[in-house]
Amino acid sequence: MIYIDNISKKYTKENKTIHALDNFSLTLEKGEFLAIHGPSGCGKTTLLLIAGGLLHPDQGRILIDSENIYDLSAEKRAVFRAKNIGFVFQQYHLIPYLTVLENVQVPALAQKKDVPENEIYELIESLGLKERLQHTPAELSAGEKQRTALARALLYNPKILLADEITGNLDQGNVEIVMNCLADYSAHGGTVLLVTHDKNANRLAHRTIYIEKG
Amino acid sequence: MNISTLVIKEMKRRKLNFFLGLLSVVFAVTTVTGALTMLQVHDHKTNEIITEKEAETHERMALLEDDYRKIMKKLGFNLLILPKDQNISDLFANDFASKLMPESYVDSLAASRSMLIRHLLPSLQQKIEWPEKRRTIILIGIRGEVPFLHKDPKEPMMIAVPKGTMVTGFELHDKLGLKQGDEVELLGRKFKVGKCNEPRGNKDDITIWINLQEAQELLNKQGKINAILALKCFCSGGNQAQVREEVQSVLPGTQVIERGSKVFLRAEARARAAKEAQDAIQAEKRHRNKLRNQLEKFASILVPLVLLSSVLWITFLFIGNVSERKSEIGILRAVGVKEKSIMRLFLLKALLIGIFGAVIGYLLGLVIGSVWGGLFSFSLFNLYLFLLVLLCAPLLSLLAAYIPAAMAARQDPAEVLREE
Repeated sequence: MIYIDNISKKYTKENKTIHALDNFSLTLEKGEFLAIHGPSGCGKTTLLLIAGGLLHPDQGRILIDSENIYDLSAEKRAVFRAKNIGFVFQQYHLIPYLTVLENVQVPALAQKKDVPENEIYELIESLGLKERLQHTPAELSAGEKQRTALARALLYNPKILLADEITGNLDQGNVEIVMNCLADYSAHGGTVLLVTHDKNANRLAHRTIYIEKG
Repeated sequence: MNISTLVIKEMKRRKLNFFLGLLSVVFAVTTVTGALTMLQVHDHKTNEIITEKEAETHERMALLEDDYRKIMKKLGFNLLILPKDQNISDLFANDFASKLMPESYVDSLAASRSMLIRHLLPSLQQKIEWPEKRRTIILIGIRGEVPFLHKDPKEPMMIAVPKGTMVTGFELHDKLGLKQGDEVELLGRKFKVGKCNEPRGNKDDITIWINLQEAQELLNKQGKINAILALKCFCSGGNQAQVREEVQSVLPGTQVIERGSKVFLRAEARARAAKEAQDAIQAEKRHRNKLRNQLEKFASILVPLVLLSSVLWITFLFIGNVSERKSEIGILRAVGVKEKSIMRLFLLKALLIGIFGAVIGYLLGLVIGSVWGGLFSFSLFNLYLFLLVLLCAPLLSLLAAYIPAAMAARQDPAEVLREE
């Protein structure tokens, strides 16, 4: 279970203070698929980064399985992230000089044991990337890039998947593949927190919330 | 997937970045190795030049010494060892020593380990009236040279006169009509003329040489001599005072005087020539040292500048590399890669650049330094220097990359991921 408890985050830029999140609270159950909508700049991405242990909130707590992740040291939080959280971003963040197979294996850098090869191939195949194993990101379409990023996030079967506008650059076919993958992951007990503008996501999400201004 | 795979793949992808980093290390190591190789070549050449000059001088001095040895020998005995109570004025007035000393003195001297004298000739000399021919002559009894017991035997400068024979000076045999093989009587004893000397223009022309024992009997001075002629050897150095000291340590009852100052002047000239040769070698050494100091000074300015530039260049390259890889670092942090692993990612790259740069730079520096220095030889390969370079270049590279690597590790992933 994820419990986002009364978090606030503000940014200061050129003497202007922007309140990205203001006393925001949210609870997600295990296996829940939550879609978050809202206008640009409303704090959706900030919420995702805070929930993933990457951005310290100015106030509030993030409890994942009753553990406040911001009570952990940076090193321990990194280990926690490696074990429990998967990230997917709109801009994919694939490593340009690695092949699809290698990009999917990147989380292994933070893990103590490798995922068996057959499981990696199964995951890649399930996302329709079998023919692209040895291709670099520059040789992939937007959909293939996003599917590669999704495979990377799911490799170690994390408890939580945090997805930020992952369908924003995709055609309808790829949106279907990606969304079905998220639904499938959720159906198998994974918790999904999806930030999106795509109203079609509501169809597969268990719950939808709208953030107006943090 | 591990860090090293990531590093190698990144280097392959960003070849220019890797190449520029490598170039910087190669340049620094080549400069250091090249400068040291040039100094090594300089030392090598200096040794060669000095050794060659020394050998040349040694050869010339050996020839000169041999010439002087021969000259000295030709000039005859140059030392006279006399009884201590011999009045030198009487010696020069009468042309012979009037005082006596035991013949055994010569054997004592021959048994000593004298380093400064060669060729010992005991003699008994006296100016006498040759009653049978009514002539004043100098009678000299000699027994031949006495060899030193502790030295290699030398060819004698004067041979012994066999018993019953005599050698006559030019004036005597010329005026008395004597020829080799004639029999003559001297102080009532018969002698055969063994040899008639050529004119010498000195007292030798009125001298008769006979066997020492016979002379002692004729003059009634058995077992006595009045002089030991000797040759001072200049090859082993030593001045007159040292010769005197050495002889008197063996024969305290004697005095030593030198004959023929020409000999000593020549010896001094030879010593001066030897000194000048040594001075020339020293001057060459000084010149080479001065040259080396100039090279060293130049290298001591150039090398730190190049090293500093290289370190700065690598630092800037890595800062660029970190900036270029912001997104990559962000996602690595997001998947749980720790800060120290991010640092390792950059430091490993710096280490590889340092190692490759050290090997290439050392070989290049060796070739450039030796070609520039004008001596290419595999003997210039210095394992110690190579290992030192192999240790220091990666260390410098790591040092240069440390700050950018730390910057990368401390980069806030949220900032990058949010911005994008």
